Amino acid sequence: MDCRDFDEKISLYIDNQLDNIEKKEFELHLLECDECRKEYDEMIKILKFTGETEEEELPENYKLSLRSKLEKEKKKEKSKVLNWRVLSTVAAALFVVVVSYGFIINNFGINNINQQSMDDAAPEIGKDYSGDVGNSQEQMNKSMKFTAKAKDSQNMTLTSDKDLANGEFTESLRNGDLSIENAGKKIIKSGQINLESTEFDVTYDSIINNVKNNNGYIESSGTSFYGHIKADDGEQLRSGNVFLRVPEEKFYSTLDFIKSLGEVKSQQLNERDISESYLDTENYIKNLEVQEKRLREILEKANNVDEILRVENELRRVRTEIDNNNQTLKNWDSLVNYSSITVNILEVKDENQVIKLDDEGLLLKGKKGFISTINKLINFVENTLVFLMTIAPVLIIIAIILILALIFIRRHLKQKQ
Amino acid sequence: MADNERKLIKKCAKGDLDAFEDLISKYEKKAYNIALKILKNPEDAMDISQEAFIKVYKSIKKFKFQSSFSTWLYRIVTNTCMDFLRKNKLQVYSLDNPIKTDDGEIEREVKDNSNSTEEMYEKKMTKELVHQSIDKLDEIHRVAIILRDIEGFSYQEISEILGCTMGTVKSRISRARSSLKEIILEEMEQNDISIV
Repeated sequence: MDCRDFDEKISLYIDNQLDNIEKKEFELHLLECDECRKEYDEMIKILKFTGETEEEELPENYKLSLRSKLEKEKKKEKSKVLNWRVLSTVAAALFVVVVSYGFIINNFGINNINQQSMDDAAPEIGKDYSGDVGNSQEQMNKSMKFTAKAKDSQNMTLTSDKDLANGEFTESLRNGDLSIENAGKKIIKSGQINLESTEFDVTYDSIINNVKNNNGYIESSGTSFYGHIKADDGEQLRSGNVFLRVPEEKFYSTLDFIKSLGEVKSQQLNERDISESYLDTENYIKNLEVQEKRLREILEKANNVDEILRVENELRRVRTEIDNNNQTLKNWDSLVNYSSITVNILEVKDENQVIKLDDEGLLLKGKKGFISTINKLINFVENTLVFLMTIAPVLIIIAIILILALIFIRRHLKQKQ
Repeated sequence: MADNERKLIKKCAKGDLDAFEDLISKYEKKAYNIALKILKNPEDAMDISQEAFIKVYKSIKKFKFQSSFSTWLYRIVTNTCMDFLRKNKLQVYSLDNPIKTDDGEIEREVKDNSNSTEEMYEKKMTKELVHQSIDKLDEIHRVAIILRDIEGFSYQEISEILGCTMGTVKSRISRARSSLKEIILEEMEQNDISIV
């Protein structure tokens, strides 16, 4: 062991951290080398002085001030916990409010809208009723589900419709075509029915068959899938529309038949009396025909080419007019003879259809209730999710504001402290 | 670890302040002295050691009984002191520089013990010298000397307190002692004293 090595090991030797061999070597060198012995002695003395340091007593108020600091800390901790509790409570409450708001909007909002539109419409019956009915129909078409309330308002629509029809009749009577019987009158009838049906194909086919049996025809028809709602078996729901024409005398029976096929969501009837215009046009044609006859007589008397040409020109004009008006009459005839009906069919899934109602036993009732509750629950969850997603932007803004407020308050409190 | 201490620690975890006072009463003095030696200033030592105790109180729930409670506590004390020093590094002043106040500059007064008997004077002077020299060591070495030679912790305990390996502890203590000796010898040469 040389002196440098020795120097490095002094500390470890003093603390007895050397293994036996190193220790022996160290002690050997200690005996041999005077210089190193001096170093060793100096170190021992220094460490002796170091170790002699008296412990300082704690300052007098040490424990007291520590206690008060600790108590402050404890309070802070408690208020922190409290803070979190308050915050989480507020957050939970907010969530509940939002969710229940979503629930209410989703389940009752539509009804409210319908109710409102009906209320609005009520005083205006007879004025501009068809417009309002159209509106409410639109809303009804939009809504996929109807609850009892909606049905109520539906009934109102139907009765109002009847009133309207009656009103028109009496009005046309008052205007006074002398022939009171409808047979002599030219009336264009048209109707629109919105249906909901659980068996789309059956409804669709029976409408078409019925029309054929009644010697009517289908002017146009179409089917399409609608909405995002899928039936339980994964089949997508369809909507269809049929524009059909039936002989005038079959109009009401056809309407009734179609109405019996599903749940009528709305219907509209229109009867336009064109008797007077029809008569006028007929007379106009008669006049034209007399004129034509006279023109032909003049033509026979014509002496020169110039005269012949002029008369023929006039004759052609009259002829065209006659043809045009005859065409109008024909169109009217067709419209009067064949009433038009527009049918919109919406396929719906009956929520309770799963249960075959052979025997309404207690078990079945329970099952039915259970399934309907489950369905409602699923509906609710779905609506809530949609609602949450809808208001997500607002929520994010609220969250940011809350966080900023929190940071601000915390900073404020800290500064106070 | 004594069962009693274990019980106390569990009580503290539930927020019992009396139990906490009971628990740390054994360690308060040593903790304060460590802080005093590291920070060289009674006010700071009090503040920082108390801050360390508050840290202990706050995190006592996280104490897992894997090491002894005392080394865990002293570790927090040492770390808090070191953090304080690191934060205040820029404010460290030297004895040679005058203190600047609003009223002008005041010369720093250094204690003068010239009125003791000769022997006492020499001995005291040497002891004083050793401690002044310790204060002149850099932080890491000063802490090593404080823990080992003043407070008398074992190498194992020191490695736990400082959170480093035994090897590091050994070389750190060794180097700290060498540089302490160098400083002392230099001082003695200047003041013309020899170690008694």
